[in-house]
Amino acid sequence: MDDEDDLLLLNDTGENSSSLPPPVSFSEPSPMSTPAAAPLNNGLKAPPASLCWCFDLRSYQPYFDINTSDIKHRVLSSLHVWKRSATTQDVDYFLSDVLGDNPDAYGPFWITMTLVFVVSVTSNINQWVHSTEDDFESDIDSLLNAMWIIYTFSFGIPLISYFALRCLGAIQGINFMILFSLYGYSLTMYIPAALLCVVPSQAVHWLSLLVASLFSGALIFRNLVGRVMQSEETKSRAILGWFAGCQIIMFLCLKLVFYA
Amino acid sequence: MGEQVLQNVMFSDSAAPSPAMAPQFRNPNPGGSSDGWYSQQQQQQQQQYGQPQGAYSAPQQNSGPNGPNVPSSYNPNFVSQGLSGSMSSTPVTSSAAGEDFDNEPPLLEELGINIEHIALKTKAIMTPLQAPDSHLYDDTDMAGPLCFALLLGVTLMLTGKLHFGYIYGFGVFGCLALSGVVNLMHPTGVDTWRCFSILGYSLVPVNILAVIAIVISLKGFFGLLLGCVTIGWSTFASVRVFDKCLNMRDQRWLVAYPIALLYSCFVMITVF
Repeated sequence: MDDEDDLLLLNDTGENSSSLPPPVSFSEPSPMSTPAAAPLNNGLKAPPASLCWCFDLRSYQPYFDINTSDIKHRVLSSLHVWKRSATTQDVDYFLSDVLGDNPDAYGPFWITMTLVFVVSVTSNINQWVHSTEDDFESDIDSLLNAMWIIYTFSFGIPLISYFALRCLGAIQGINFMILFSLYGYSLTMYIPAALLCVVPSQAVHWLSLLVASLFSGALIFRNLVGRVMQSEETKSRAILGWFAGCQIIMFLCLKLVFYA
Repeated sequence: MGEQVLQNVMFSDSAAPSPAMAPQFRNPNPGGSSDGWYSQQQQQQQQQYGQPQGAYSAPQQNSGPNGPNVPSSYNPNFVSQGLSGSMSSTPVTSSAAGEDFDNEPPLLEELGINIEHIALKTKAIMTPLQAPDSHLYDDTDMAGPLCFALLLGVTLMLTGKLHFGYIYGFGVFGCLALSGVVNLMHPTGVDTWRCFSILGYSLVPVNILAVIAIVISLKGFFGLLLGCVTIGWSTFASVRVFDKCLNMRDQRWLVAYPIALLYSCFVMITVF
């Protein structure tokens, strides 16, 4: 009972957990804690506190503590956006059941890298199919563009969202790693969609990217809506609108920049 | 104790160094040596060689009579001092060592290059279906990998491509990134030189592909197939070693993906 009360108090102050391992030593979580004194979610040992924690590999180790079977489970679960949580029957299956308290960085990082290369390669193939000249020069710029766009989506948007949520005070139970994991795993559906875009038909392009965006948006929405709606009406609408807008912009960017 | 066991593994036919010498080797006298001639000679040697690369600098600081060189991973101070070029903490040998020219060990032994061991490790890579001995890759031997990398450059040169720069760039950057990834995922952390060594040995199939490329053009379906087989072989061999020797059983597919990307870079510069 006492533990539950503590958890509730921690959730309400919105200072539940820090975005990344904070550079202070960890003690027991207290409800009146200062912003960076809560323990890591996954219970692994905290790295030694220092100013240069971001340069130490050990600070990132808790987020790579993962097996092949875990990664497989997470990637496949990110495609099952319609599932409900087994315990609470709530729509945030991915966050509560799959990620739990262990958001990882391996999956999002490699899915993003894979997507960058797949998009760049299929974009080049698409241009080659449509080209009329005999000598076709592959466009290395598409790799750079893909990198910018997709990394902004998977790393920049969670960062901005985290700071925005923090400023708005709508941060219950969300930290940066959870957002980064969620956005990273939501990119899974784009990989087969990009592979399908090799087919030289505009309808196929639009349809496959639309379906991928719907899956991706559904994953993000279903997992964040519960936590965001706990704040005021206008704030939560604005936040959900921001998430939806990012999805639409990502979809349009991918289609118009790479598969025109 | 550990390095003595290692020395026995590496040089089974040579005499083990006396225990009295070992602590001297591990804890060199700071602030200069007392016997002039031997350390001066080593100093000149060091300056002649200029800036050695990484672990390769360690053999030059070896004190002969102390026996075979312990690889740099066991005494990283030597590497950093070697790179900075200072000889202030050269291990002090007994004064008899410098003057006793006839009793110096053979050059290869002094450099820490054990040909038999390199051959054993290469054979383990070539036959990845047999499980490698889990302690085979404990020494961070860089002689073999450097040799294979140079050999790759030379065989590519025989086909008309000068790609030494690419091999160096991809090799160093890729291996650094990969050792970063492995360190992030491994519970206790893995020595970077060991990763370099394992990845360097697994370059042998790419060497074979480059040799084939001298006689057959690899641009075509057959070349594509051979390239894929080579990537698979190299990846499989190095993942086997990571799995058996570094206990990364549950994460071998996670490690295999970046390794496959690295070797596909090498195969691409070989094929195209």
